[in-house]
Amino acid sequence: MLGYLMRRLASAAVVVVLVSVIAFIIVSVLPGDTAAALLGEEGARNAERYEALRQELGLDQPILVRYGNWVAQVVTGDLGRSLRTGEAIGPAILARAVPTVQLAIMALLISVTIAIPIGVVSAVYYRRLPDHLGTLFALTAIATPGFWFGIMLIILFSVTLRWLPPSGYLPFFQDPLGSLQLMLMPSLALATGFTGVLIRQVRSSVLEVLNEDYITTARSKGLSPTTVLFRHALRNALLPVVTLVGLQLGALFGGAATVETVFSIPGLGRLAVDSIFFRDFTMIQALMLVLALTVLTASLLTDLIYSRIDPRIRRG
Amino acid sequence: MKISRRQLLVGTAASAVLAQTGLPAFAANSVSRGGTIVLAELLAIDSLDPHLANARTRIMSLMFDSLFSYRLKPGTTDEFELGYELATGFEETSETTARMTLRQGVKFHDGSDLTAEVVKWNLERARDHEKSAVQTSVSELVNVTVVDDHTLDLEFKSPQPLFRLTMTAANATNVYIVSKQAVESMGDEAFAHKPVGSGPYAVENWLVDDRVELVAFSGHWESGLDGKPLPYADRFTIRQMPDQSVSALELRAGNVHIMDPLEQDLDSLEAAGIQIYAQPGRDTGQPSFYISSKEDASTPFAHDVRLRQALQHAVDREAMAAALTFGRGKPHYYWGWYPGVPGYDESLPRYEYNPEKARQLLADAGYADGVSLTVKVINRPKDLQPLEIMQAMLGEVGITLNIETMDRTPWVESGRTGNFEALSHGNTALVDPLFRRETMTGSDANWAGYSNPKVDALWAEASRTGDTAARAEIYKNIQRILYEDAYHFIAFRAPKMLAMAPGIGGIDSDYNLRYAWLAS
Repeated sequence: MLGYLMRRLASAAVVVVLVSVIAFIIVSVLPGDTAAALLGEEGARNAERYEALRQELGLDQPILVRYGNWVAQVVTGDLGRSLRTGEAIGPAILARAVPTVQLAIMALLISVTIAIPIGVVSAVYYRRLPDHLGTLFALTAIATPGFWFGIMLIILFSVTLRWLPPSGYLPFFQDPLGSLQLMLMPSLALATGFTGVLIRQVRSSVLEVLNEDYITTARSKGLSPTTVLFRHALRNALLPVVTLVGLQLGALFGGAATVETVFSIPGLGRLAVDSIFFRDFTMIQALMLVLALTVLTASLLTDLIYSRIDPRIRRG
Repeated sequence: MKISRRQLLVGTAASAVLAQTGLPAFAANSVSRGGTIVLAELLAIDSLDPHLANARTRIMSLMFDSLFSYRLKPGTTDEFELGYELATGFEETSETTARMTLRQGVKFHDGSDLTAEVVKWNLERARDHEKSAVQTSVSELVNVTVVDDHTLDLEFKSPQPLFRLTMTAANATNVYIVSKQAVESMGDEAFAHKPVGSGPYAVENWLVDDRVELVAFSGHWESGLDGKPLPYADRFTIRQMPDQSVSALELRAGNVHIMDPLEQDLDSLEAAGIQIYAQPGRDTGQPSFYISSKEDASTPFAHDVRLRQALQHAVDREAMAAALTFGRGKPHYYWGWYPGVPGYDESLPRYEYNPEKARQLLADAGYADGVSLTVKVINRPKDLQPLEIMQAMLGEVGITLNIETMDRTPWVESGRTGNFEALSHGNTALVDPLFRRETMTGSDANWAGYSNPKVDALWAEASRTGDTAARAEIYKNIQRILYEDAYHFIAFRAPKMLAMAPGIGGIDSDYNLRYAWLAS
């Protein structure tokens, strides 16, 4: 077990280094730099100011020197300052992570709550009307863009029905109810695609398990269909779902970028979008690093949980 | 504290009722006090220091005072006039010197006093600070001498007939006056997050990329129409909202009071009882672009005026205006000049729609078989759609318009380095054409490298001419030459709109938001 963990950590370290190098290269080859973005149309007209700002931001240094400086700084735990706003990056990312984490948790809960019952019903009523309806629902959810669905939700629940506030952000611990109300529509918008994928996954893994020999055995023992389904089938069928939830974390962050923009939530996704538009190199670098670490940690945890609940993995 | 959904939505419901009563625009004749006004701002704010912030946002005039004011003339709907804000007098003592007196008894939010020394320090900071974003406004200022506590002598390198106009909120590079004491005690970085001015609102809190929360400053010097000190509202909140469709929905739900609407949302907003206000003197022209005038430019359009004339004649401006502005725009022929701008005159020569003539000009230039031009543009529907329609119109006469779309930052980079055949570049009415520097030889703004000695001489003459009517005549001559050279293209104009909740009053232009009130 310990050996397995060590191997996993070593490969994670390699991935992190690769991510940081790739991020650095991508950001460097993008046309336009932070100085041009910061100065905008008015400021960029002044060549002297542009050069001065480039120098001040350290953009006149060769890329290898910049990368070296950055690594030297990061290993001491200092992520530097945002080129755009001058904020210290560590605290800025932490502050933005709070709304995004809340959004991701709520979206995951919504997905799981909707997808498991529908997936199970689809499998049990294989190729009958409930299955077709479930499949239609899943495919519609997968095909619906989150940002569009978000705007539709706002029109329905905020403008027409006036049940929910349209957009914005309140910290959960400052006003839990208000925060949940504000986050409900964004979480739904973020959850759509994942819910669809999850329904399909639950359906197919329940179907697979229902065809296993031990289910036939359980049935032939005279157990009721409900007991067979819930005691014997579901437990095993939900194993792949755990993996999927872990793996989807990265996709959720991606979706957060558009959903946070639509709903004006100051989260990590929007921070990433703004930073890319402004060529805020230091912030993009730090964000990539933090996101890579998060996704790696999530997938490591998923594997560990998986091996806890499925002894076959531990042995292998 | 526990808040029920009902309580949370009371505000929303109240504004819904207001919206349904369909109050006519600006019905709120009598001033209202109190409440929180919420503005949706598209622009990401990088700093609240008005001298150093790169994002030139209109919210600065809420927190800071200018030396002079530029407001709607009482009793008119489209005439603006220059007035005094922190200055109380300005007298030109020679061609290049002036004496300025300052308002007495003005306090900053930190309790410090406005003095001549503070204003001198502000003007010098704007000119000398290495990160100053407003340098252009004071680059000609050589000396500032403090005469007494409230009097200054200014000395310039060259005549500055527009100095007062430059020092108003209507100018993007205005030098707002900040508290010297606060900058010196806090340092630039802390000041950028919680700056101190003397304006009607003081900064309470800035959550980066989310909101700026302002509260009324009780010690503000200026009085409102009801004789009591400004501001009218208790609080002013700026929410940074990157999606204008969502801002429009927030406006309809009553959570936002002022926003910049998308053209396609105007009709539905109006139907929902929202005030749609066309800001006078703030027209925007589209599609606006200029062709590279550099000697080494690769496109034949740079070198043969007949090609440029063909392009100008090939566009049906009336059809474009009708198709793209939802009936709110007009065909437009004068690049850089708009109704209300000195020198605007519809009797000046212009390129009418004449595809036959365009084909003839192309043939004369030796391109009867066709010619192509590539225009670089930021990938935004507002900028792109007009070019796409124009592409079809130019195709009719044999000009292939290639449209190269890009992000804003690489677009700035292309412009700055002059790396383009033609560049699409926003064109909005400015208070005075002298603020527009795209056609002056050697100007940082002249990305196309346009250079005509006659135009330069006329600009120089205009910048020495204090009388507006005389300046307008000079501007007409500049337009005649720009017409002949035909490098600059424009096809239609539409006013810059503000969408406002029914209870909002007092706004004449978005740089004067400080005078807004909210009827409860």
